[in-house]
Amino acid sequence: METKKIRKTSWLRHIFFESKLGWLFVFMVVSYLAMGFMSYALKGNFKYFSGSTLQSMVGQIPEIGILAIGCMLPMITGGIDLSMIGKANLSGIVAAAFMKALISDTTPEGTQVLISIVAILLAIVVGSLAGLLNGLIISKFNTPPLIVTLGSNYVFMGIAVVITEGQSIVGLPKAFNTIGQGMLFGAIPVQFVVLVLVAVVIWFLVTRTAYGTKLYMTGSNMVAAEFSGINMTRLLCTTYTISGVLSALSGCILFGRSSQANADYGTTYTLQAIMIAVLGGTNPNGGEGNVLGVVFAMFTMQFLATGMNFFQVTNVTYLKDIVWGAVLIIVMIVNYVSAARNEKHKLRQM
Amino acid sequence: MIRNRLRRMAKSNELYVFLVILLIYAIVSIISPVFFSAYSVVSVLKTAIEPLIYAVGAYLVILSGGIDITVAGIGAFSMFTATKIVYEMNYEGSALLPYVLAVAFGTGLGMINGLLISRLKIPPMIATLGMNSIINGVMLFFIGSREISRVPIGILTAGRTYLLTVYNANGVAAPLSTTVFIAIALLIIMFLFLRYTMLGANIFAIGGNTESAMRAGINVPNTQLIVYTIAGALYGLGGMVHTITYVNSNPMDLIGQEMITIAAVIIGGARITGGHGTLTGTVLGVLLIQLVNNCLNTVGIPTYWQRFVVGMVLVIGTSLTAYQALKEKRKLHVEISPAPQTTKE
Repeated sequence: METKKIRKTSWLRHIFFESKLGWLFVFMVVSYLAMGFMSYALKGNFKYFSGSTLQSMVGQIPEIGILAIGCMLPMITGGIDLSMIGKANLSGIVAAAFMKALISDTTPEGTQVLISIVAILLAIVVGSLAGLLNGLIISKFNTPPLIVTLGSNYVFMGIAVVITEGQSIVGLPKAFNTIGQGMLFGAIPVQFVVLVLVAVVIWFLVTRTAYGTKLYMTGSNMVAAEFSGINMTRLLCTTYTISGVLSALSGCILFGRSSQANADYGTTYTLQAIMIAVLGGTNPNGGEGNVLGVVFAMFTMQFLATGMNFFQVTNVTYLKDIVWGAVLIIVMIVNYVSAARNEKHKLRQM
Repeated sequence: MIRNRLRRMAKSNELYVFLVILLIYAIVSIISPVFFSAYSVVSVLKTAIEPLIYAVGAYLVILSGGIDITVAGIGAFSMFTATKIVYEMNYEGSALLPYVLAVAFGTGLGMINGLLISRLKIPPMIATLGMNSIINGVMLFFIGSREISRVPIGILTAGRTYLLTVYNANGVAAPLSTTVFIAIALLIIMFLFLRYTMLGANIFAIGGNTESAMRAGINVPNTQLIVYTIAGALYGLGGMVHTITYVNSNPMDLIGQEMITIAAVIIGGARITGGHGTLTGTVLGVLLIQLVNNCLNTVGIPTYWQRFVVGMVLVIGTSLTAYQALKEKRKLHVEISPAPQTTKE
């Protein structure tokens, strides 16, 4: 824990200069304010800053945010997970089909709640099994993660479509929908609470446990990590399983929010989740990434997206595509330039 | 010599893919004898032309050790923008102009990819991910999102010029478009390019081991730039072939094509880490996926199984090759490692 000592001496300096966290935070706040004032300039009111807007934004973040955190873990090991949405849809659909089979209109309220909870647990089991499968193939056969997850995404989505026969499952029970629509204390969306819990648990896992240390070691140098006695099969399987659990949660939120389950839902989410993870400072080559950065990044993206909704242009979704892509590439360019400058600085000091 | 060659062939991935293709064809023909006809062959070939052009581009990129997920983005942008320009111009000439425009757009966009990756050292996956988002956004926001179904006359005539037409028992036609010449010419050029030019060899070299390629004096950034530019041009070309084949230009048509294309190249035996893979393998990979898509319908398996089957083929196929590579590596380790076996006799 030597890094901790250094951080204590000047944490402000650490945050702004040695990690990207501070900048990500500033970027988030700036995008919130900029979008707010821009919408004021266009529409003449401060509706963007109102509580209800914030509430709806906070309600929209979790489904993609949890996916992004789930994407981050494999990326830290130097891998990637393209099957997030496949797992999410598959587990969500298994849960939906399970509930549809057991719950009818006459089922008493209490039983419905119970069945919904079992359904969510079932989804988590399905998601973790799917993730475990990815992990096993990757570690046992030494197949590149990109390909395994690309293929398994088709498999999972395929199974989901086969279960639903290409139809949507509509009219999910109210108790289940709570996870995507409910409000805690009448103001905080339940799904946001789930996101916070996920973020805290994953943060704890990667920063405060042996597993986390191994995770970063593997990402920075896989060969060295393996030679230092890390059980690679176990580590990779754990990582992809956790990523599976997170996809399952996201899938439940996704279907709970729309109260229907469709195997084709959210196909664009995979790339968006990766984008958020990278924006949040996760290094796609492995070894770097932290939860807080990813959280800042998901808020930034949501602020930008909601802000653009206030612009009142047609086809605003496409405008979002442009902005998100541009932000991603600009961030990568800035990373490159600052890394090059750091290198030069170090050379000069020598 | 011939024996060596045969032995190498028996080990090659292409042979397995080819056998799988034959196997699928045989099984489907047994289940439904209608499938065993010129009609089904032509209809598979017909649908394979366009993905093949994309796959050759993606193959080059994967060979160089990168990855490109702008396939659908560049393809759709080039075809749609080119069609739109020609449409707005009320141009009445041949299909040559739309082709040139589409390839030009593709080249430009591919070059941007190449610059981001080679000059600014952004990981290919991320750079092309961002670019895909931007390209799609720009196309749908600024250029238009509604399909052009009344295509200009040049595209229409090109699309309706067939090399040959085959009918099945019910009299349904499967016309083989003249675009097949484009695919054949492309394959020949690519084969010669990779086999007999310095640049072609360089692509293999930087994919195999970037560091040693650099030490050997190969200009890695420039080679990467050229690879992504060529790939972009090919996606543009493929996009235009799409418009010409379906006589319709819909910007949403190609969504998801990037993953299928990469899957085809990988099934064909190219290694995602670069440096390994053949053009023949890529062609076979494309044919395999198209065959699967095509014959599921014939056998009466609902279309929603398609994705599942393609995914399974991809996972199992690559796991087998990766496992083979792992075994070879282990064998190599055993051979190199000290401790020669002492014989007690």
